[in-house]
Amino acid sequence: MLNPNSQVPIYIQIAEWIENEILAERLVADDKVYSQYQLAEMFNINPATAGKGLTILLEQDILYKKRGLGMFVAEQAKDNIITARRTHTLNALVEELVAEARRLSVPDEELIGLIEKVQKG
Amino acid sequence: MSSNDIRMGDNIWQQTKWKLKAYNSGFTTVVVVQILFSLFFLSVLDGMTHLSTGNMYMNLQVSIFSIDGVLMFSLIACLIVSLIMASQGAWHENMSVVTTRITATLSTVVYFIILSAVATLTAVSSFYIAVWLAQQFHDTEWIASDYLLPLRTYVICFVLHLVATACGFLAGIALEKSKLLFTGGVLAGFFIVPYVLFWNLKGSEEISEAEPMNYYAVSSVLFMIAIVLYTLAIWIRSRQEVR
Amino acid sequence: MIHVKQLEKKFRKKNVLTNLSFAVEEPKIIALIGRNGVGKSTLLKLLAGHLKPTKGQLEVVGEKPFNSLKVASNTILIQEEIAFPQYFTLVDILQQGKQFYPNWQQELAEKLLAYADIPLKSHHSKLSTGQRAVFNLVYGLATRCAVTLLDEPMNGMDEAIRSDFYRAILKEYIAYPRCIIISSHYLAEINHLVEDILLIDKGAITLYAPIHEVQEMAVKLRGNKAVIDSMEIDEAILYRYTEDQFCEVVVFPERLEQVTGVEVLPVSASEVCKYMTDRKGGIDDVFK
Repeated sequence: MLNPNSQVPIYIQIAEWIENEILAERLVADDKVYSQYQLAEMFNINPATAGKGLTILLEQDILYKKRGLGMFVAEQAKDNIITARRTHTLNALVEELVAEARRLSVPDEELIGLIEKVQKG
Repeated sequence: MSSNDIRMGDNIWQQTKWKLKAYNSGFTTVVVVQILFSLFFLSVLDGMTHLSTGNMYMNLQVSIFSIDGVLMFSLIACLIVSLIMASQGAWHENMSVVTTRITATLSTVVYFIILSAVATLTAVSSFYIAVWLAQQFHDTEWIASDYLLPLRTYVICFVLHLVATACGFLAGIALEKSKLLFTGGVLAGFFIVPYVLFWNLKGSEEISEAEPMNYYAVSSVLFMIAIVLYTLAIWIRSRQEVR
Repeated sequence: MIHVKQLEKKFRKKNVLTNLSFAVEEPKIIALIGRNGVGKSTLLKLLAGHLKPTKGQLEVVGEKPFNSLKVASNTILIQEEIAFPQYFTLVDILQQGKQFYPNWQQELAEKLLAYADIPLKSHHSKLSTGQRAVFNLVYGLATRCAVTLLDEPMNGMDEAIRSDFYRAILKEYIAYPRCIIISSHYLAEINHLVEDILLIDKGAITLYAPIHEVQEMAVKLRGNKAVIDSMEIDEAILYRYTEDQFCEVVVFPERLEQVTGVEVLPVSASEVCKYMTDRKGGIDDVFK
C-alpha cells in the first residue's frame, strides 16, 4: 500500500502500484482498472491525486480510455512497464549500488559475486 | 449543485420559529415576572380601594388591584429580554443557522411582536385571576361584567410592550456600539418618552376620565414610535459585521 | 464558485489582508496554510459573509457573501467559536440543521456522533474540547453545503479520532463533491487529503498550486560548503544551513544548471510552505 512517509509523490505511488498489479498479472490486458474514486477510497487519498496517477499511465500508453466506461489496461502494458523500469528504475538502482560499493571500497568483482549469490538463492 | 435558492420570507419565518424555541426563556421570564408581581400586588394591596400606581394615566385600575404595576414590571422584563437578544452572544448563536443581517433582525422583531402579544394576554389573564382570587377571599360581590376590559386596553398593552422591546433592542445595539451612546440614549429616553407619550392627553384635566378615543390615538403614536425604533435597529444591524 | 480579486480587509487601521486574489471553479479540497495571525480565519469569515471586505471583489456562488441569503444557504463556516443556543441539546441542534439546510444529512450526523460516543442528549457547552470539535465537524459535513469552510477543525481531537474524521471528510467529499477549504497548521497531516494548497503570508496569497506541484517545487542540496558555493545559486536559495564545511540549501530546481558532487533530496510540501514564509532567516538565528 501507500507509504505516507515516503517522499515520492502520492500520484506516482499510485501509478507504481497499478504497474505492479499489471506486472503480477492481477490486471491483464483489457481489464478495467479501478476508477479514481475507488482508488481514493482504497488508499485514503484525494480522488484528483488518484486521477493524476491514472493520467500518467494513460500518457505512457499503459492504460487506455473508453469514453464513459473508464480506464482499461493496454495490450502492451506489461511489456511497456518492463522496458521503462529496465531503463529507468533498474539503471538507477544499479548506479546507486555501484556508487555505494565504491563508497565502501568494495572491489567490483566482489560486488558481482554478491549479486550472483543473491540470484542463486 | 450550488443552487439552493431560499426565499426571504420563508427564511425569516424559519428563524422566528427557531428563536421561539431557542429563546423561550424570554417568554417564561416575562410570564413569571407578571405572576410574581400579580401576587405581590394582590397580597400587599389587598383590601385597599381605589389604587393608582405609577404615572400611568390610563385608567386600568380596579378597586383591589391595579394592572398598572404588573404592566410596568412586564414592560421592564420585556425591555431586559430584548436587550439581551441584542447582545453579541445572541448574534453569534444566530450565525449558526442560515441567516443574513436583515433576516436575522426581522425575525427578532417578529419574535418581539409575538412576545408582546403573549405578554398582553398573560397580563390580562393575571388580572382576571387576581379578581377571581379576590372574590374567593372577600365576601364582596363583584360583578364580572364590571371587570371586562375593553379592547383598547389590549391594544394599548400590546403597543406598550412593542415599544418596550423596541427600546430594549435598540438600547442593546447602542450598548454594543458604545457605552456613551447607550448612556446618552437612556437619559434622552427618560425625558423624551413621557413627553411624546402623553402629548395627546395633555388636554384632559380629569385624568381618570380620559376618553376612549385618546387610548387609540396614543396607541397609534406608540405604534409609530415602535416602528421608528425597529426601523432604526434594522438599519443599524444590517450594516454590522459579526466579530 | 469562489472568485476573489484584490481583496483587502482592514481592522481599525491594521491591514490584515492586502491584495488577495484567487479563484476556485470546481469542487475540490483545498488546504489553507499560513502562520498564526496571518489572516486565514479572516479570509474564511469574509468568504462566509460574516465580515465585509474593505476593498476588492469577492464572490461566492455568484454573489457577494455579506448579507446574501443565497451564499448563507450554500456556505457553512465551522470554527472553534461556533455558538449554538445555550439550552439546546445536540438533538435540537441537529434539528436546526435539518430546518435550515436543504441537503441536511440527519442519518449521517447521528451515525457519526454515535461512532464518536457522543450522546445526543448532551448540551453543546458541556461537551469536552475534543467532543465539541467532533460535533462541529459533523454538523458542518452534514449540511452538505457547496462551500464548506473548516477553520482548524481538528483542534482538540485525539490522534485516532482525527484520522477517522479525515477519512470521513474524504468519504463525504466522494459521495457529494463540494468545495472544502480546510485551514490547518499541520499540512503533513492532510497531504493525502487535499488537491490544492493556498498559502497565505503577509496578507496576500504567496502560492496557490496543486499539491503535487508544491511537492516538486524545491529540492534540498546537501554537501560540501565550497562545492555548493561554487554553484552560484544564491538568488535561488530559500534556506541555507552551514556548520563548518557542511552545508544544506533548499532551492528551486529550475535555477540549477548542473548538480554534481552533492546529495539531492526531495522537499515536502509543508517544508516548502515553511521556507517560503520564513521570517528573518530562521530559528537558528536566535541561537547564534
